[in-house]
Amino acid sequence: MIYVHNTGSVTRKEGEELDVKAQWKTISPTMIRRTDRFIQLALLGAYQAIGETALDKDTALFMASGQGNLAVFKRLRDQRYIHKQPPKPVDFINSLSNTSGFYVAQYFDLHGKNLNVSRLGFVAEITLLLAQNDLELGKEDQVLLGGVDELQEPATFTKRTLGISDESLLGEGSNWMLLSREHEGALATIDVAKKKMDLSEVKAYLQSIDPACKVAFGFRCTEPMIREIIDGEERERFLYNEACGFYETETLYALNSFIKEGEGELLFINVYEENFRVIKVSLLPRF
Amino acid sequence: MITILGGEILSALGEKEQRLKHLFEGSYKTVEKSMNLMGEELSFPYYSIDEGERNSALSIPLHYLEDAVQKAIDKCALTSEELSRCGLFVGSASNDLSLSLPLGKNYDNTQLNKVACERIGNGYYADHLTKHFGLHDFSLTYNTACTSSANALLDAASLLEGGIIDYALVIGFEMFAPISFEGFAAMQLLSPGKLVPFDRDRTGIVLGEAISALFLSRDDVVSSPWHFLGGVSSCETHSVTGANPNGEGISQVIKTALERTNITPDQICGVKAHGTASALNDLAEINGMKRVFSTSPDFFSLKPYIGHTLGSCGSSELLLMMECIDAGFLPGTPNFKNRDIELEWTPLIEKKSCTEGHFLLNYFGFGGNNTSLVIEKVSS
Repeated sequence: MIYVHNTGSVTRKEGEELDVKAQWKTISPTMIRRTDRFIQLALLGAYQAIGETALDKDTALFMASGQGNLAVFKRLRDQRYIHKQPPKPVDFINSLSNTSGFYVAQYFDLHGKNLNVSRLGFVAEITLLLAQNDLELGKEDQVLLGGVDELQEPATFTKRTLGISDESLLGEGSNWMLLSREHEGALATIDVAKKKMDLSEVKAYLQSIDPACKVAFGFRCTEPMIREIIDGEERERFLYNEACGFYETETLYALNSFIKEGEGELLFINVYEENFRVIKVSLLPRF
Repeated sequence: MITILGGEILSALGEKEQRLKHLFEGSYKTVEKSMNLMGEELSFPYYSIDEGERNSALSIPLHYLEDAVQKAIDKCALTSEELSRCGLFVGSASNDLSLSLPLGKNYDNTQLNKVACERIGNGYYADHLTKHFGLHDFSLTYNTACTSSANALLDAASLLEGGIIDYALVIGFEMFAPISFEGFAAMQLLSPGKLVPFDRDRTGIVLGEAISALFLSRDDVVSSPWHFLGGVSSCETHSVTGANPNGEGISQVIKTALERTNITPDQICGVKAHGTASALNDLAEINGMKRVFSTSPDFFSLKPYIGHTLGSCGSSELLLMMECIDAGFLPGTPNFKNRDIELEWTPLIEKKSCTEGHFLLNYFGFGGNNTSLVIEKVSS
């Protein structure tokens, strides 16, 4: 079990406006020139979680993304294939490494481990499991963990490359949480299940926990699937979905929303290719 | 205790017998690759897996990955049941290239149908390999520039230690990528000639491609004379393109890696340096080592053999080093001729007898990534 000390989110859904550059400029006018929108989105989300608080320099930074910085690849593609130009150095650097993590670390003066990880499904769940493992083993004392995904136009193309239906509403977001081994001052605990589950296992798991524990589902969970999992149980659902469209790291938005607005406990259930993963969040008394 | 079981590498050095011969003799092979940069025809050496016959510009070379993993499975004699307990950790600086194909096809946004059923993303390769080989569900893909697969190794060890998996497959993966090749050229970081780490006349990096597949486990599951003792990854925010030349960040990561693994500098028998042959990186690495070691340790760079394989170098250079030591030697650093008076320290020029001991491996990259690993080989 690990403790959540801070959370922060920036999110929008398809059709809404989010001027990331303008917002970030009000916070750090100097850190604009070499950063692109994806990096600024990462910075903005992390700032919502941390603000001007000075973190321990050894705090690790784990940044997850389902798609990565797609926009920089589009620019590099255009430079090479359309404009017949070599890559612009800034775009090249931003594509080659975990540059977003570098700028987040630089802004918050962090010198610990700095990871940029990705996965086709469950990217937030697996990154949280990685952080939980490192914290429980004592390899890290504190982890600033974020998930960043940027909405790419045209949406029709992006939906197909994400493997979701044309009817789904896309979104984007930068959702961060400060995780620690330290109980004092924590907002919540997080317990990431270490193993994947099949449908019958997730149903059994849900039936085994406190009936007062609320439940939320990832975007890939269909309503028939949800009905099958709940199986007639009268369990309160935490509906975070209306505020955000689909993006791979929306799990973190759901958890952050519950920590900010919810009460009691939440079981978050997500699915990818018929496998399920669950995360339990328990809010702690706030003084 | 984390055990290193071994693996396979596809690189410019060829099959094992051939690559050991190269490493023993200090020889290597490069091809010339040309590009048009702002109207100017340029040519640079390159370390190619198959001597440049393939155009992998916009293709996903899955069969190379499958080949490397299958050979590693065969070497380690792992069963299907054991593979089902094996997590996957892929490190690549260019994993976003999985996007190049659909993005390239779709460059004018008019060819949507061609990508209608293609699921893409940075985790594409890991997803494919997990299904193809029936691996455990835990997989992650790391993009931390030149430390990608070194960081993948660190996390693989952590997950093994936590008991979440019993085996780990770490893959370092970097194939020829035109955007990367041209990007380094545009930044004037490519050497027009030989790759000469730590030499007074070093002129920059020479890129290469490599796919390595390396299995780890725990000693309560499988024993091995090779142990992964641990390491440290840190972020140095001095510059997005390199470590501080004064060596401050590099010394910190080496010191902490040694402290965490309870190894003293004088116990280190050999250092696999990052050794890129770029002026400032080599200076930073030597200055970093000088802050930790009172006298120069035996150190060498493997990049003159396989090139700078970017995100692949973590696991690829570890495997090459293990193969050398298993064969009884630390490799020399080819091409080195002239001592740089600013660096003072010089790498091993000739191979040196070595069969066991403690070893340090350094990896540094864009994005402020510094990683040092410590491993040991004990008598069988």
